Amino acid sequence: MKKLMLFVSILSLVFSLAACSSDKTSSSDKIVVWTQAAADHPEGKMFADRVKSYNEAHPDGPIVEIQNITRAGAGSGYIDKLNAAITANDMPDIFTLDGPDIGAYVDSGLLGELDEYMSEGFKDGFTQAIIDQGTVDGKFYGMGYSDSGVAIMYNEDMINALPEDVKALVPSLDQDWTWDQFIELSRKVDEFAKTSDDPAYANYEVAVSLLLTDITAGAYELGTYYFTPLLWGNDANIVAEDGVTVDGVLNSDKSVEALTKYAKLFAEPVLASATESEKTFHSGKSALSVSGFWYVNELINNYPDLKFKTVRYPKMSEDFDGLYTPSGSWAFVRNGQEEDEERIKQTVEVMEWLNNDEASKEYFAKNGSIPTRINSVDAIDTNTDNPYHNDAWTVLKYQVENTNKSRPVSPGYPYLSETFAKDVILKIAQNKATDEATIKQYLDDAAKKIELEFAKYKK
Amino acid sequence: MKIVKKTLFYILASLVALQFLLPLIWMILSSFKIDEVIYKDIDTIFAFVPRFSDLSFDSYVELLGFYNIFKNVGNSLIYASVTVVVGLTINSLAGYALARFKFPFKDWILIFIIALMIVPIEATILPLFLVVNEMGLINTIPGYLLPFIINVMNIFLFRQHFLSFPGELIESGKIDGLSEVGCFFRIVMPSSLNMYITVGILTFLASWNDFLWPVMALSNADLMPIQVALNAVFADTYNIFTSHMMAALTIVTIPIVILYIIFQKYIVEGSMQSGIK
Repeated sequence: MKKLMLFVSILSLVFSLAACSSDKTSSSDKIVVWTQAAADHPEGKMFADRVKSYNEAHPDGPIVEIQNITRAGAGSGYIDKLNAAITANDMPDIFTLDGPDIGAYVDSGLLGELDEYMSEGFKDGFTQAIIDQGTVDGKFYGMGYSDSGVAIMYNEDMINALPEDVKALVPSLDQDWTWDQFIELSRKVDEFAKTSDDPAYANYEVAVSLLLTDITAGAYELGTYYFTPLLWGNDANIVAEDGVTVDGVLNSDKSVEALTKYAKLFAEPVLASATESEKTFHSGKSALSVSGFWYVNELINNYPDLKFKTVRYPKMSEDFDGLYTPSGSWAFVRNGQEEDEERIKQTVEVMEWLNNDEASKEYFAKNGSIPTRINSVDAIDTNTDNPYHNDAWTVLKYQVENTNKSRPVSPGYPYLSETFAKDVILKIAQNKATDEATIKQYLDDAAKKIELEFAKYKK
Repeated sequence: MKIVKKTLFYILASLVALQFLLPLIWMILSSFKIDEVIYKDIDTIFAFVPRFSDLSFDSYVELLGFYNIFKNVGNSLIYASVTVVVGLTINSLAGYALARFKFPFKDWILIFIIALMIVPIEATILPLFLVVNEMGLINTIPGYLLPFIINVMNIFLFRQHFLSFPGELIESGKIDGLSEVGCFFRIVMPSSLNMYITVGILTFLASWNDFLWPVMALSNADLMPIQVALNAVFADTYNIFTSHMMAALTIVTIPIVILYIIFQKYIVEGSMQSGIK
């Protein structure tokens, strides 16, 4: 009995002592930053370096402490912890959010606006797409620390094998082209592949890789991110300016027209597949690919034998001159429950340090994060000794500076995005729906579903 | 006829076993290839059969250059071991009390414990976080370990086991001058070694595979267990290396495979006793 009592006592003592060493953040002398990037990851390291340099440059100010909360997949883990901290009224001063989620958090009153606390002209230093991404109802809430981009990549060997008249359909990297031209090229590629025994086409499966399998696997955002630009390029959108009106917008005639063009990829003989193989483009199974910017590093590092070239994301029509290419990524936001004006000023000062021109250049150098500051876009080096890198980044850089557009801001964005991706983009591909009436039906059904969900935001 | 039956049985059993083993073989082989080769081989026999000219340790060298996986493996081993040792002691004592002692509301306590077993962990995560946060234990090892030391499922398993424990052994211990506690530690525990190993393995695996709670309870990167560290490799937007993922998974799987090999008899027994598949 004595031994047991002793054991239990020691155990209690150990836990008590450990509890005493709990590292509770004192709100006055620390500014706490939460990020979804793991500490060992280059992104985590770049933030750690940036925070370290802030603390060294501001020895008299509050210490900035960064905490890394790993995310799984689209952000679970990190988002779970963030939501728990919100419930416990224990939010960090600054935290990261994926750009499209900013609207929902603002709607819940959790984020603090930044306009009146930022240095003069600081906001104007961001690219337009990043300003739009962080703006809700005219107020600025999120400083994007990294942008993104999507382009069209093609397999050089496969394209070189084509007849000259078909090769002529491929634009140069500084040329705009349209979806019609892209689809025409895809069709010619497919025709050639089915009649040719060229070794470049030995593994051929499909003309274009669209990565729709990501939507099936639950990464819905990819569908909205990749294909909403079709609507933008046709003066349509998935939601109205108010962020909550979908009926009459998502299912407008302009949307139907844009998506009918997308659907041509699935008309027999199909040019793209909803069930493409893993790494279709990487493995030489498709000649063309709608490719996120992350492909550049991936292909160069992991697929040294693949010769890939990059051209611009297609427009809907040649005369369209608005913004239309995919963009956006994670951003820094501040705790909106903080009321101490002095502390808010200090917090925003830290946010500026984490997002200024110098930081933007650093992030690109250390992690390949596309700069979000106008003055830092030139940090993208397009004169390396790797021509594939140079081509890709020339295209992406051009789009960041000229054509990138932020995804729509909506308090119900996650539901909007998931429904559009699953019930429209994926469904068209799976059912090979190419006629306007069916596409209109899909859009009507999706609009109805989203409107039901969005009713709560209109009260 | 018997031989034919036996042969057929072994062929069928081997095929089923192979079906479970193939993903593991693919994972291990892929960890020794570069991504390009992984996807080149993916729909060929070479996904499962080594082609030695394509094998290299590059993915391991690169992975360990990026991430200190062994530190996280070490953390997980410590957390799982502490949870097993302390948890087995406390849960078995509770199970023993519920099985052998008479005290007020014993049946109600048992019903309450059984009722708790149906609550999924995801439903309790937020209240757990709030309680641990209120105690000031967030981002401490005790704050991470405490909520999972006591496990209602394990208490119930021990209780069921001790119900059928021969009382004569305990009585003889008492005749020899042992106290109730002495009887437990000197007679009941050693005689129930199989049960302890079974529950210990199940507890170890649950702790080893936990992802959500450590993310919630810990912020310090140095304290993170392996499952959290793995997601750093998987959730990478900029450098997507399937070979790194496979190398990380292979490293993480090794301790579990060793555990399975050593204690496979008990794992099967435990699965049968606890109904866990």
